[in-house]
Amino acid sequence: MEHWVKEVVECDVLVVGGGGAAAFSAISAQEDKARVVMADKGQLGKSGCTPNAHGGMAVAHLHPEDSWRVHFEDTLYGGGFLNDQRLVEILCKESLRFIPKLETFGAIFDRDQNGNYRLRTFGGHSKPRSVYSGDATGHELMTSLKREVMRRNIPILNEMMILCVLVDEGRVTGAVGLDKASSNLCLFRTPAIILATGGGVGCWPAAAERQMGDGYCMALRAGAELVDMEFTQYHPTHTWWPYGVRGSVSESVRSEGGQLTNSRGERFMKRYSPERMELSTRDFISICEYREITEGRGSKSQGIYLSVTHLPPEVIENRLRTVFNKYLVYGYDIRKEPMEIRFRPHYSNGGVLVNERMESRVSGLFAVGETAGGVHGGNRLGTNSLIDLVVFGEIAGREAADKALKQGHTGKIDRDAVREEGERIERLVNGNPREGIRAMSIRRPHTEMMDLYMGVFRNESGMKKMVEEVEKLKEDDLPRLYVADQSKRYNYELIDALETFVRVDIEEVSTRGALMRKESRATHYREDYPKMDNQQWLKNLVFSMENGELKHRFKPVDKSVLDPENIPEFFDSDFPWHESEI
Amino acid sequence: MTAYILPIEKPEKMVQIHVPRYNPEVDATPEMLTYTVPFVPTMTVMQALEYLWDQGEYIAFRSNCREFTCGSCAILINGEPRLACMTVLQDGMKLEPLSLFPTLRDLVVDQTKLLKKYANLRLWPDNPRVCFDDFQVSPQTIRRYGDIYSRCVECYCCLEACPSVAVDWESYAGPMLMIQLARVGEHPLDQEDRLKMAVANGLYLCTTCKKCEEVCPLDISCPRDVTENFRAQVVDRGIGLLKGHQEVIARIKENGKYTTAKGKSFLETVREKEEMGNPVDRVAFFVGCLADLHLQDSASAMVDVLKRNRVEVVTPKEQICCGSPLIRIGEVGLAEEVVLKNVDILERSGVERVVTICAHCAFTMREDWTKILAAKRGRSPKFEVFDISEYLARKIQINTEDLKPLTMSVTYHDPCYLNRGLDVSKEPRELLKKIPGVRLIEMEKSDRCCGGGGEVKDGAPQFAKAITSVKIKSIQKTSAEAVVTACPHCVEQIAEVSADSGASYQCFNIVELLSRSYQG
Repeated sequence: MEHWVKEVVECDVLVVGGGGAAAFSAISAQEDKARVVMADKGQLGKSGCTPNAHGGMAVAHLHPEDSWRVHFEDTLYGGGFLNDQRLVEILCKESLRFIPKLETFGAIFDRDQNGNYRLRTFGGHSKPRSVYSGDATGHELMTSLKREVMRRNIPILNEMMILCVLVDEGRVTGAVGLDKASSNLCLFRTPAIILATGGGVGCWPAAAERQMGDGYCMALRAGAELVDMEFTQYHPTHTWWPYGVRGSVSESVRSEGGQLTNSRGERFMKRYSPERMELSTRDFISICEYREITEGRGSKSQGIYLSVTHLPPEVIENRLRTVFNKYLVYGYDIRKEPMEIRFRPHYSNGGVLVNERMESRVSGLFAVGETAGGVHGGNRLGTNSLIDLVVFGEIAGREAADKALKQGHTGKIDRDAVREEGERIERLVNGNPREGIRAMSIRRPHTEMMDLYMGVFRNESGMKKMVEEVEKLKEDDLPRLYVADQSKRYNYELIDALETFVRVDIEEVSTRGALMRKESRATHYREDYPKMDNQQWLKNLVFSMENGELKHRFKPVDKSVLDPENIPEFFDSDFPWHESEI
Repeated sequence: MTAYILPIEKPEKMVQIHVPRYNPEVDATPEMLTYTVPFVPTMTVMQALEYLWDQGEYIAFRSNCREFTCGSCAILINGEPRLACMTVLQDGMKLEPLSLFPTLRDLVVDQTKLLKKYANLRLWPDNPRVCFDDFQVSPQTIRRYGDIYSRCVECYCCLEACPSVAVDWESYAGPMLMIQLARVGEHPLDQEDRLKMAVANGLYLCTTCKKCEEVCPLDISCPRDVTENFRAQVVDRGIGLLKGHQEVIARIKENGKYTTAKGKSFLETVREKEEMGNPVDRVAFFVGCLADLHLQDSASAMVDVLKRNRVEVVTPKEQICCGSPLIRIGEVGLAEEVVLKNVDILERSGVERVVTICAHCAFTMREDWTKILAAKRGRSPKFEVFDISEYLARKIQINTEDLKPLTMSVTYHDPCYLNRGLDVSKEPRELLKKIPGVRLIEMEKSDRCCGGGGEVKDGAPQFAKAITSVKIKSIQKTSAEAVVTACPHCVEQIAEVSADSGASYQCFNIVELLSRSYQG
């Protein structure tokens, strides 16, 4: 083991990740007197998806007609009632106090002349409740969290990729990380780990290509369970053309009055959702776009038009500045011409199964943010995720600190597991080029296959094909995966190869889950089972891993606050999305 | 359904990019390699690098969001710091790591030094933890956060481009850190004296050359929105004003002039009106302090050039400093006074156009005068302002018939306030090309600041000279017989430091070269 491990770090709480959830949980754990260390695969403040979240943070307590209960119900309807209601209740009740807290960290949110926070309405929310900062709310959030982390002198290991969580008798004892700068292994001795590594949409052709789902993979292999992994949210307005423009077009564009039109210039949402129109839920708009495109009413480049040309130029220049500037770079003036957009993978709704303390079934292993499952059910509403980061970041940090300080460093380090990590890297670097395969030869085709078979439209034959591909990847490709680059410093090919192992797990869990769920609900739409089936499928699908094999079980949905059976307009409906007017 | 990356299979053309591959662990020096990548319209440099990854060429580079909100992917593209994710790919582009930091591998650099500076500035509101209702945020603060501070993605492009940072990063923290200081300073909960910190971190070492603004992917103007704002607060609070600046302010207060005379004042000797029959135009000449008091030859040349182009010149003798030094120092109140006085003087002369030979005057008159006049009198000036190159090249038909050959090789230095301030860079070059026999040799980074601006040369002359020395090296490399520019501040600064270092070339204003050519 000593052969590979060049550095040993001891702490009470290890936070894995560098986005908003990671930063907030680190702050919270340190506030509770734990010695915290952050390990970020990128660089703090620049990694993860938080900096490029545009929209806002859902807070139900500001609008006079709003309440936590309304927010709660909106979130449940959006999630197809698969949500863990205890978590949703916490989210909706606790949200308010985090806004001023973030302001004490240095953030400034938009306010009106009287000093009240300005609010936006986002898709699926029945009331305006998104506190925002222009259309760069995530960036503002991350800027202030980064400073608070620095203020507290929380040690950050930038460009440290955590490879596995070490467990002894069902308890966390440490983790192994790879320092990108040196390719050396680093051993962490810690009784508590918070996984805040974001989602796994990097396995799809998403904008968030760097979010591979490391946390899911580590949790699964450490003995934790994953829930709702068949639900991958597609964002309906993702840049599509021109080619150079990347990333999503914030939902605030539709919130400010942006219109979706097809090649005939028709606002097609009026046929699918005449009341909510462009402010329907993300899953539903994505499906509608899919229909328009496949039925031949797509844009020039087989996308959909999103137009703001009817809005006053100053609204576009100011309130939609990020999007406006983004297009302007490539010579497109959105004041004058519509954007060509399209649905794209955006968010992993599922994640690590956690309790109200954000702890998984492995003692000391916590998950938060996109890495945790349950809050958003089958489909997350826009702006619910930035607030999720801070609300549950605080809980995870507090509980992890509590656990670590109460238990102390007990349990053994699994030296075999550490050695296995070292050997895995050595096998990759010393692999045989003649029979071998390199990471990029897997990444590209698999990314495209996930979009094709596990995309917004799914069916049995496609998903079976995907399962075969995953099997092939596991059996034929992984054993002969090798890294041609022999150097140790910033070996990005090695990172790509290590992420291939993560990919296998994410692809397998999500595809198997989607294949099993023989109905359509929220972000999971099956051509062969186009209806929602509340009799059979109002339950969560939970995966775990035993001896390298995936096991599944069904978990009844949480009904602790609201029993869906008592809501006939939902329970008796077989329409997969919450669009009551249809 | 088609996949996301599909269009690359039908490229419009193939293009080449050059990337230095370098792993300091094994390579002695970087090796410049050339790669061919398919091009699809609007494809970015980052997409080209990603394409190469897909082909197994894992060029080391940092990236994350790919939509210019994380600032990870700043590299040098054809020598200029830019974000790879927002730069459209062009054939022959050269990609290099930022030069401000040590290279770790290929395009990845070691930012440790920056992170230390960052932490030392304590960029968080230093407050006792307050509760919800304890503070209000003014609409102005919200607007400034939205327009300026929150937009900064901390990509370090401005630090790389800054001539002051290049000379001495220890003394001047750099634009990004100044913006961050201003950000936290304006937070209602912050209790630190951020102004003192800004002064201690080299507030008066910024030459306001606007290079940071030019390279900023988010178009933030640090000189305009942060530096000058901070400097105005310095004057307001009466702290940290440098001795040289106090002298400048005192001189302008006393006699309206930025500096003291070397030789006889041009304005004292010049004829107020140069009348002629059938003029093509009638203009006022705004001389500017340096041309009036130090570089009288250029002022005389100006009148000569205008006359030879049959332009009637009025040179109001009461004109005073344009206010530029005051605004750069932060003495905004006095600046307003001199501006209004000048406006009255120029408007009395009854001309519609005013020409200058000073980049600082031209910029200040066009930008700051307009703002001040709008604020104070609710109207715009009754005249238009032109730099002389702009005037000769665009406004009138320049008399080329009388230009006689001058056998001479010259190089042109772009004054910052003319080039980035007023977007005048082609015009002077066009004029140079019109003079028979003059051979223009472009220097490397002709747009790099000479150290003459932002009142650094009056406040911290040694620092300004260090910036000039960098400029002088690129001038010398051209082996040109003369360096021509269009700003007395640049002429004086370059000439002075060149003389100290024993350089052999001449240095003068473009009107002098034109006048010489007319005289034959």
